[in-house]
Amino acid sequence: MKQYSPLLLISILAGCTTTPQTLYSWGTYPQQNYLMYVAPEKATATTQTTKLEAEIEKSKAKGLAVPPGLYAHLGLLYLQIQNLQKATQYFELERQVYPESTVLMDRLLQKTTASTEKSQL
Amino acid sequence: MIKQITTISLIAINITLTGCAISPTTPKDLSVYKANMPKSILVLPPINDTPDVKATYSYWPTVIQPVAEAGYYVYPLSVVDTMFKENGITNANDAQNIAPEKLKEIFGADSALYIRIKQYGSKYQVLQTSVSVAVDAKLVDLKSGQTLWTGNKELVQANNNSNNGIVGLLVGALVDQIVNNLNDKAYPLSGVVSQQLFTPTYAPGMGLLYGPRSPKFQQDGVIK
Repeated sequence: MKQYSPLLLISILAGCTTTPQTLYSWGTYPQQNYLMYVAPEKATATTQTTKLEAEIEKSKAKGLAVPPGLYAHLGLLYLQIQNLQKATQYFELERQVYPESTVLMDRLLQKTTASTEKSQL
Repeated sequence: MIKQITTISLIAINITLTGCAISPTTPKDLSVYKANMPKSILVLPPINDTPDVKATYSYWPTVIQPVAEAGYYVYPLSVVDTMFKENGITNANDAQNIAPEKLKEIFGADSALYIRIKQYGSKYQVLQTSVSVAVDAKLVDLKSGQTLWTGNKELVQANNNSNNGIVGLLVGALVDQIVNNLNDKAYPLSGVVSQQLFTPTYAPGMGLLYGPRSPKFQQDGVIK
């Protein structure tokens, strides 16, 4: 009886978790989303961009996919700190990697273009 | 007859595999879901039916990962939140009351997840402290307004609960030190709730079905 228990435990655990193989490399992205609302001082735009961009570099080096929405999230952070050029680059990247985002990204790109024109006046 | 045996064995396997989530399974009608399979899911801000004001923004972030891993494009929470706020929609109730076709027009999403948080937080009692999270979820096709899928999940993590070992183990694996220091015990438990609620299941339809970006797309219930 005793020898069955580890196997049983494993099967119980397997039922509760997702399969270990994931489609995307998430890093701290979900937690940043939580922190930016619950403890914003711990997840300022600059803290987040530094951390998330470093994680993306690591994922790319390992050949892992960047999750949906992460590039757009970075675009929004750069928009908040008035870096319109980087914001535009990230919105375009999201649209390119995930065409499902086209309508929303086009909307955001219109906004960045409008801001760019305004800042040039 | 063979079909019956297969169904029974599938249910048996499901019960074994789900372990901590044993609930009777009545097979869901998934025909509408399959016929209107969405590519993208807009996770709307969850409506908070609990007294804890943090619930919406603590629970919401935990939904993104399991839904994306199921094989759907998920719109970034921060962008969705900003779009709503810039258009004067400042609470989850208002966001969930927007007409489906309007949501489709603004975000370009095929479907939306409507979530209500029924329980969120800690209960302090004399002999034990328990943390509980409970949510109801509904996936709606934004073109037709039809409901594609519904689900709900409740988890309680108590000091002297036999379940604590397993749930506690999972919870511990999900958060790092910064988040741990905030001492919001319902947040890591929310992560487990979302994973169990949305991850595709062996008996198709308890969780979401596999979406177009999953290598298991259209293979729900197929055992290899």
